[in-house]
Amino acid sequence: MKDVLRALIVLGCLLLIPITAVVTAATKQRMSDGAKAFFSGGPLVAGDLHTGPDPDWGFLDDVRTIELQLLDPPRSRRIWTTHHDGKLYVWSGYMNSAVGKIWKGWPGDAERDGRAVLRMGSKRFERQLRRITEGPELDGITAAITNKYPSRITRESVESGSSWLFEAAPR
Amino acid sequence: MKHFYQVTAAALLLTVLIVWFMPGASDWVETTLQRYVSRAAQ
Repeated sequence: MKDVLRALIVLGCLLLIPITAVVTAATKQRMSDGAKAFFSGGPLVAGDLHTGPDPDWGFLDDVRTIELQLLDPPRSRRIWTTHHDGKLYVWSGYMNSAVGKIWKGWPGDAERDGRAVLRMGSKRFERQLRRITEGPELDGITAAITNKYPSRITRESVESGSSWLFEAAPR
Repeated sequence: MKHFYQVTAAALLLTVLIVWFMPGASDWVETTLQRYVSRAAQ
């Protein structure tokens, strides 16, 4: 019995090492200007704030990810993006999976308060995220997404709530 | 056992220092975790 207890303690101590690595990396990222991949970053500070009319979003065809920061809570993350009919879109998958419900907190936050800042390169854009759950434009938007990314998003996944789609409208 | 706890504490401190200060270490931790979580989410 004593040996089992000792083995469990050793195992627990060994598990602490990767847990410590993850917590340290997450804390470091949270204190940074922006996000890199998985962990949330701090508020987007660097970069000129765009003013005036929207640019031609065509340049995003060559941009894999952008940074998105909500005003509340003021955390940033890296996400995929696309454009369709002159409008900008962001989305989140896995929303119905158990892991997704834990991992993907920002779509719920964005639905409550959609004020956001997007950073593309050295430019920041103030936007308002508006969730889209239905509509004739869904086919065009999901086609634009799947043409750009290996995404499984479809009209059905958006309508069922498995994927949450947002238009990033001007604010 | 006391010696083991001391070694564990030193290993944890070393982990924090490496992840925080070593260039690329936090990125590696992040991408590795992302790979596992993405697989679990599918």
